[in-house]
Amino acid sequence: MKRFIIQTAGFVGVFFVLALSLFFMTNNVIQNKATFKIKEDTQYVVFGHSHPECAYNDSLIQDFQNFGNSGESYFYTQTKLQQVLRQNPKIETVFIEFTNNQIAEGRNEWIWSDKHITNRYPTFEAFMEKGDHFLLLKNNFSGFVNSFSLSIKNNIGRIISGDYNFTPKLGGYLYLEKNKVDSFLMAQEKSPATISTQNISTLSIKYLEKMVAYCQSQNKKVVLLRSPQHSKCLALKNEAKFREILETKFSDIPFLDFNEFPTTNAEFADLEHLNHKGAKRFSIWFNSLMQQGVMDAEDKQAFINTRMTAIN
Amino acid sequence: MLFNSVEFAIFLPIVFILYWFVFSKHLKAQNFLLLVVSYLFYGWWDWRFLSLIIFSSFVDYGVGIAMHNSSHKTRRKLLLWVSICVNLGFLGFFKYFNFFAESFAEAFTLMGASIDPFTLNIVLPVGISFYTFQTLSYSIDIYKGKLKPTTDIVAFFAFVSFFPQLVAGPIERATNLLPQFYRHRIFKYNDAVDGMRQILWGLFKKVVVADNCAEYANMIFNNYGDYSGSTLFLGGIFFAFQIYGDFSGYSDIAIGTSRLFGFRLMKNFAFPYFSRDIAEFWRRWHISLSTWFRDYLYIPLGGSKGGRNMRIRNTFIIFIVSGFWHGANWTFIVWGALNAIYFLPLLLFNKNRNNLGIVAEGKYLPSFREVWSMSITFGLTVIAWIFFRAANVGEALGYISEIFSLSLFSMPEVRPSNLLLLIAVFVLIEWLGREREYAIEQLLLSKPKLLRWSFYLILILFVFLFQGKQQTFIYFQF
Repeated sequence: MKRFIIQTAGFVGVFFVLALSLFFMTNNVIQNKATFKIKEDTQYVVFGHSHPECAYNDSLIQDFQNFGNSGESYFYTQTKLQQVLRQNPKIETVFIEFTNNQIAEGRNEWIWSDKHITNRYPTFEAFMEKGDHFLLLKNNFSGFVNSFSLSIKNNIGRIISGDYNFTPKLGGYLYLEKNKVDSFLMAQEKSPATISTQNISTLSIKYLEKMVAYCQSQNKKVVLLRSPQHSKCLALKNEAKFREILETKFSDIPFLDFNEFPTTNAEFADLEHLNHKGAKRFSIWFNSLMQQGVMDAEDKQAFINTRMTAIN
Repeated sequence: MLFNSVEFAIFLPIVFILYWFVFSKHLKAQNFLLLVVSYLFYGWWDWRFLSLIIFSSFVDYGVGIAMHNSSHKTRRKLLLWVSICVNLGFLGFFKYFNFFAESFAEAFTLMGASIDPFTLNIVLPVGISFYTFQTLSYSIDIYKGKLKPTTDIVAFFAFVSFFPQLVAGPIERATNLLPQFYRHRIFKYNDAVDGMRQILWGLFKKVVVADNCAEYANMIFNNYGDYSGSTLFLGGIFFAFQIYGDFSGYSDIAIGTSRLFGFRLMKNFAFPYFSRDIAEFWRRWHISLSTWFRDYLYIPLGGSKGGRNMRIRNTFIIFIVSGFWHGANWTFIVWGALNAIYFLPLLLFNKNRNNLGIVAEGKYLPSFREVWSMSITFGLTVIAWIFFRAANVGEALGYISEIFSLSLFSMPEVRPSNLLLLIAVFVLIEWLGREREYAIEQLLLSKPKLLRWSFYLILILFVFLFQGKQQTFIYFQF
């Protein structure tokens, strides 16, 4: 028995050493060779989840790149943002989506649920801080172990194929054809859903603060924005809490609110996302707003509101 | 709890230590521990369904004793029917209720009277087809006088719920497994090491071979209309290796885990893809189920002793029931019937026992004739697997008709060279180990420890690297 246990423990030990060595070695190569380069003339970038991903058609906005990605929490965005800024010094302004559903407690699931961790950790782990690894390990042990092994596999794959370009993994404008607003409204009328308006994800806010601080440390202009949402969007129910956080935590950061951008039902894919029609009209308008100097305006929201009213 | 999960990797050593260090002095305590951890293992998935296992165990435990104590033939028969009705009743309700309701409605629609089927939103309890068959065999064996009932309730309950084989077999007979719960078990180094090796090979088959094949098999089957016949045939081959790696991998892990605790389970797979005819294939595939049906269905029906018509009838019954056991869908029934059609000529011409030994025994390479017969058998199996995998019979027929088109001779659109290489290496290792209990049982055993450990480390590293996107075992759904 003793011999069996010693041999098994020895074998497991050798395996752990081997796995960890592989992890650190491949990470080292990735850290040194990874590229996050984007177009040279890009001055503006937007980060966030699916709302900006579907709203900003960056082919219609000058010197602008969309890095929105569905279901991405601030936890992963901050790693991505740091790498993009590090390798693209010409970026002047960083827009970060800050909207109602990003403060909800459920957003923690976007950090460590099995689905999200296995999708995102292998992409970004080589650039994460030690504390970030431990946060995931603490909250989803088995998911972390699975993602850890996937990371090594992905890294080995990248090294073998010589593919160190991470830019295609960063997100981008998502063209949505669908329009299901009517069916969503009907469903909502049939069985009204409720959400908790008080429980918030302090972790999400913490990582947003980290991103803001990082941009400031790099002398980049950082701006929070809220993409258009349908007026019946359920997440809007926490508006009071949302405003409170905005005012207490980010009062010194410019906030561009496009929530009330005039749209029709036909321009939404669902109650939270613009479809391609809405995105086209909004992006053209957003481009003109930028050209008209919204970034230089003293009261940016008043500047925006005037132009939104003019659309009506 | 899945065998290929982090939870199991923590669970197993804890149970091992408790079993051999804390509870080793008392057999009853060891059995009780096995019972508790088996329920924990099962309850990890959904604790509510533990009640079914417990109820089923109570019924068969009571029926067994009552049958033994009764000399009245009618009463004994009645008790047997209680066991059959309870076990098959659970199985029928949870697995087949909706199928029968929908099929009934469809039949009415065909006759011109449209009715809405009454279906229920039922969750299929994991492993129900396995443990109900296991407990049923206990009652039947007692009824037939082949087995004495146990009065050790803990041993019996542990036998029904023994965690390594609870959810996907091998389906053990009480005559083999139950007595092992009565005997004091001693730790044997060689058995434990062998068990670990078999677990490792099982994990490799599941995580590396099956799950990688699954990725391509799913892609091809889910979009079969977009691919040429050659790609579809390749998809069939991928599924064949997926289901083999998945199910035989599970069995290897179950058998290996049992050996760590001093138990011996029956062999469930014996390199079926090296079979030279379908009869041999069925002697080598899911052996515990095939022999269950042979002993408790085929032989009671008369087996192959009657006339030609009776043999044809019995063959179809056993294959169709076996297909239906796998799932409540017409695809499984057609799969079973197709295998009966493959098998029938061999039976009718008395050739079903032509290939009882191991192919090319004692040789490195098979003869040309053996290669040919193995290829034909494998090809037929792949065609049958298409029904097993397809969502419905129409889809399977569409898939097969596209295979037998001219596009079969075109270059496949999907050519995952790494996966094909992996399958080739896997087949080679299986071929080299085909005379053993499992492929790597003796592989490199005579070589220096460093070489052996390096080989095992490579296997476990592969398992670790590929286990990220873990998939559940296919046979869990049965």
